[in-house]
Amino acid sequence: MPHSNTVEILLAEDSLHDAELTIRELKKHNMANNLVHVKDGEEALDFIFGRGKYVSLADKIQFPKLILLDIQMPKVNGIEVLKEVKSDPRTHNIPVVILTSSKEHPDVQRCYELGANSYIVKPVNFEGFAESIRNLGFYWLLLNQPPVK
Amino acid sequence: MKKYSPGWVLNAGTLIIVGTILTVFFISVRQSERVRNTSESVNRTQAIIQHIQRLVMTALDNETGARGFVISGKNEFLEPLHQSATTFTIEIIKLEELLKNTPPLLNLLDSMKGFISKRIHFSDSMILTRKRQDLQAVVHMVEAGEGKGYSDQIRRIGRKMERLEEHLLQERKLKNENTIRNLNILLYSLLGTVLILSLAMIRRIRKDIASKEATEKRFSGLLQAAPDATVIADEQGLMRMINKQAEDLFGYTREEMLNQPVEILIPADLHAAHVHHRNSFMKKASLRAMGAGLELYAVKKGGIQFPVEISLSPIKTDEGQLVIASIRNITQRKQLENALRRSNAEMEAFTYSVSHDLRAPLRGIVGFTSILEDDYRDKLDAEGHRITGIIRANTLKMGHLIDDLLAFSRLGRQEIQKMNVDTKALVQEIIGELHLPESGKKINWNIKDLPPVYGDLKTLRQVWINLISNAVKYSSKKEEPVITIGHTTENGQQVFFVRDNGVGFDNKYRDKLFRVFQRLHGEDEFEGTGVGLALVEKIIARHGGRVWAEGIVGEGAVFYFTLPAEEGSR
Repeated sequence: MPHSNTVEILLAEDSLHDAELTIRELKKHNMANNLVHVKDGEEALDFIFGRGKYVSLADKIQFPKLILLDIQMPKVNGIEVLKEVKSDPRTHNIPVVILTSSKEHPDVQRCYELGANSYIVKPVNFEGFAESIRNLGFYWLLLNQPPVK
Repeated sequence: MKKYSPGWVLNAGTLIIVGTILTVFFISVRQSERVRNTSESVNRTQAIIQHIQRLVMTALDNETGARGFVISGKNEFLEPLHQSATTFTIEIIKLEELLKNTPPLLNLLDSMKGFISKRIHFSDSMILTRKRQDLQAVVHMVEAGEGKGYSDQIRRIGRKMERLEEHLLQERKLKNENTIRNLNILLYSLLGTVLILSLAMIRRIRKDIASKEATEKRFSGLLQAAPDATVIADEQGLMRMINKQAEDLFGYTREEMLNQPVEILIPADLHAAHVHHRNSFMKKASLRAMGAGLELYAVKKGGIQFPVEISLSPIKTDEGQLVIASIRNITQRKQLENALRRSNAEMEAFTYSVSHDLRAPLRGIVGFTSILEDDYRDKLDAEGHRITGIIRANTLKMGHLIDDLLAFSRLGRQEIQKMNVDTKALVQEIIGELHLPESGKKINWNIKDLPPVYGDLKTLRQVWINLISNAVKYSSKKEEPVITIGHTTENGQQVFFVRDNGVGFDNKYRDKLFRVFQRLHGEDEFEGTGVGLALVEKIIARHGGRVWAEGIVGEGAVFYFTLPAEEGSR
């Protein structure tokens, strides 16, 4: 059960192959111990806010520490997920890293305007990921430690 | 005469006519004055002569009376004698009155007066002597001839006065005749001059009318030949002239449009606003497009609306301020614009989909091939590794193609933000960052002075990167690569060029160079996607410049591009 422990990373990615490559890369560096993969925007929101098939877990809700968010996804796309996460005071502070096909993508700018914290051009490799995290000042995540206030 | 306007000619003509009438009036007044003066002089002379003769006659009466009395001693002869004294007095007073402005005659009259009084005195003394019966003495007095002498003197002076007066009359007559003649000469020359001037003016006015008619004909010819429907409205907004194109465009006949307010051509809901705009335009008329930035609609007879583009130009005429409105039906253009907008939107959706959907499988191929190479390293032999390498290289190339294609398509939509660009620094910077081929031949750079330009830094950088890296790439097989970067000026435009001594190309293919995916060299000779120069062409075109190239196979190539000089460039 993903919620039984604190979820560190929520990966929202519709492409199973992209997700597999991302998870594999993170695992290789021992960073995917508490990673949950959801396959579209709707599932991502359900997971974060304890709705839909995750409604039974609503009481024990634990917000992920980092969201890796693909933009182009079926049903609810990444931009809509980002909007909802950033407009809810409970989830407002969760860092969101956008996964994009190209840094020239017009949606990247849009995501920044909506409060995205960083972006990674796919495929996700360790160097890119680490760079993103480090720039966010969330290096602690790599070390499995809580933030130092 | 050409420099005088028709208005000036008319004013001058009026002035001349008024002046002539006044002068003629003045001259004829003067002339009749002279004529009257002459006849007055004649009358006066007659009167003077009459009075002189009367004085002479009276002197004779006096003498005759006295003599009669002396001879007869009869008192009846004294009657004329007494009468003569009174007549003398009256005639002298009358003459003195008539002659008061003629001193020479007055002088003569004075001396005559002396003789008259002597004559009277003499007659009186003869009569007194006769009354004393001293006949001897009387005879002696007569014989002495003293009295006759006085009478002769009076007659002589009288004749002298008559002659003098007649002479003066002649003088006066002559003077008046001279004046009249001179005035006549003045009059005739004046009339002659006015006649010539009038003829010249009539000719001039005729010419003006003819040229005005020609101008009007030309103007109406221009109006009819105008490419657009044209309506000329006056200050009240009434249509004063229209061309055939306007009739056709709006579906009204000429009669239905002329002298009607232009508002009949405008959608009803805009009438009030248009009247307001029209009035403010009249106040500060200038050539301009109507409703800049707005979509304008006109309305045909029958109420059908259609999109138009209108330009207004004011003209000042004798009839007041007129406005020429050229109206162009842009229905077709609008349709094309809409079609273009739609196709641009489709293109954007397409490239979006390309960028996302084409990349996803490529990521899969590269990613999983890498896993194969890393995690199954031991299970693959050398050939297996070579094949996975080929898979990766091909996939990466596909990725580059997609990137280039996207960059190319994005360029059509991107905003160009112009600023001053230090060309020389930009070129130096690009050369500094260049990834030079590992084969490591030393390139001989020859960079001339490059002037700054006014353009979009980001895209111009791309132009220089593409041209310079092409030059490096295609000269890389030469023993001593030389790349020259310079500029010239042509028709006020900056022309930049990049020259290399590389493989060059056949000039007959030079138009193909700038087309997307068109390459003149095989992938095994020089790698590339065939997008770089197409991108250069597109960027320069968006800056309002052009690109071209010259090449000689085996000797090198020159790529030129122009950037228009623009306000703001240093």
